[in-house]
Parts: sequence; C-alpha cells; structure tokens
Amino acid sequence: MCEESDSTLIARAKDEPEAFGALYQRYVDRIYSYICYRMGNDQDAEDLTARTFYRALDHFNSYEDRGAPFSAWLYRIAHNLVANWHRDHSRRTMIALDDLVLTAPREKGPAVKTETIDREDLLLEAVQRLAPDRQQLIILKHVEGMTNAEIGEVMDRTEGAIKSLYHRALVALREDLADEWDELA
Amino acid sequence: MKAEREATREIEAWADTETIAQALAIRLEGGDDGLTERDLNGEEQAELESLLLMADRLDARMTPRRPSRDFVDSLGRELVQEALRRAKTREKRHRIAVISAAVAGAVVSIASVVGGIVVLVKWLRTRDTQQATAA
Repeated sequence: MCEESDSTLIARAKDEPEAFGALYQRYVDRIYSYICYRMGNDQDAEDLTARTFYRALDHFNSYEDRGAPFSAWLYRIAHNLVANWHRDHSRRTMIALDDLVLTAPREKGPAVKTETIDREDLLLEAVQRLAPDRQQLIILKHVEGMTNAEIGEVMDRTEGAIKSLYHRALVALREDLADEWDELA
Repeated sequence: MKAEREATREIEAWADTETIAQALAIRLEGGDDGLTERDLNGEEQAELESLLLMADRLDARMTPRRPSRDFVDSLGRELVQEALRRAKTREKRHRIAVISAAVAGAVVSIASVVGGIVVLVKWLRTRDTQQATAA
C-alpha cells in the first residue's frame, strides 16, 4: 500500500487526531535518537521526546506547510527544548557545584576517574563537548544521515554555511581528541 | 606592508579552509562544485584524509538509538487522546460561538421589530393628538 505523504497527513491531522498519531509514529524514532545523543541518557531523552511532540501538538494548527520537511520543524522544536534544558540545568549545576566545594569530602582524584572511562565513549564525550550548533550538525549528519542541504533546512542556514560548520566541527573534534587520536584511528 | 601580508595570509588560510570544506562535502555526499581532488595540494590532501578518518569514526560509533516500544506506544496513545480532547474542545467552542451568534442575531432582530412597533405606535398617537387638537 502506498504510504501517505507528509503533506497529506498534515492536512488531515488538522481535523483528524489519528493522522497526528501517524505523523508521530513516523518521526518518533528519529527525534528520540537525536535527543538521546544530545542528552546522553534515555530518561531525559524520553522526557524531552514527549515534550517535543506535545509542543508540536500545541502549535500544530499554526504550522504552515511551506515545502520544508515536517521533520525539520520537529527537529527545531527538539533543539530548542534541549537548549532550554541545558540552560536551566547549567544554572542549577553551578549552584550544586558551589555546595560541593564547600561540603563534600574529596574521594577519587581525576586520574582515577579517567581510568574508568570507557575508551569507546571518548568520541561521544568529545561530541558532547562541542558547541551546541556543532553537536546538532554532527548528530544530524552521522546519526540521521542527512545531507548538508537537509541540515541547512533544520538549522536555518545555507548549505555553504553547513559545509564550513561541519569542517570546523571535525577540526575541533580532532583537536579535542589529539591525545587519544592514535588509539581511535 | 606587514598588515597587508597578514591580510593575504588570512585570506589564503580562509581559502584553504573553504577548499577543504568543499572537498569534504564532495567526498561525503558526491556531486561536483567545480572542484576535484587534483586541485588539492599535498598538505590539503593530507588534511582531507585526516578529517575523512574522523568522519568514518563518527559513522561507525554514532548509530541511531531506538526508544523502547512501551514508551513509543504509551506516548502515542496519550498524544492521540490529547488531540481528540482538543478537537472536541474546539468543536464545542465553535458550537457555542455559532449558538451565541444566532441568539445575538435573534435578539437584535426582535429588538428591531419591537423598536419599529414602538416608533409606529408613538407616531400614530402623535398624529391622533395633533388631529384632535386641530379639530
């Protein structure tokens, strides 16, 4: 059976809730995967995935199909929620760290901690240290397999700007992993 | 002169970066923007290979993550129920708006008819009074 196009489903979903459910089923895995890489754990990924689709539902009636993929709209919502989450939690973490400095006894030193880090995760940790726009680009390209043009639609930038940003992101990753690069390569 | 040389170096560095960014896109996505790898010098070629190696590592390590089926199913059900609830609320609001408009219209119509009758009665009375006075 021929699968309905996004445009048809979007038009139907304005009146038929089941069509919104079909759009959800179509994109939930990709949105979850994107958020999971940005957040680094399943629980927060589930929470933000749910919030992404609820926000999409809130604003669905004002969504206009202008030819850009529906997924680009969902990725933008997800990106904004992730950015807000990090902004809110960085404030809380700063306070918590201050408390720790004053009260917590020193346990294991950084060297001991570093030994326990799984080598395989070095690359992912380096990706998580990148600036948010670079992280977003790397995830969309390598996890979602999007082209530069598609990423440009999600990030609202030109294809040329995406090419340059991608180049800078790879250089930044290589510099960050300079010490471990031989092992990884 | 020194500033000029620095500016030239900056422009050259920018051009190199752009060339490699372009070459990366061509190698990863195909296509041809008028640039072939023969246009790259040895240094640029080595830089490109190093970045492509990083891209390969990322491809190998960054596989899609899948949510649990329980989560997907339960969120899907919640969303459809919520969408249904909102559709019903919208429909109800629409119905209330239509009924309110109809009632308001009816009230205005009745008021105009009553107003017309009052004006007519007043006019008739005034006319009768004037006729009686004249007689």
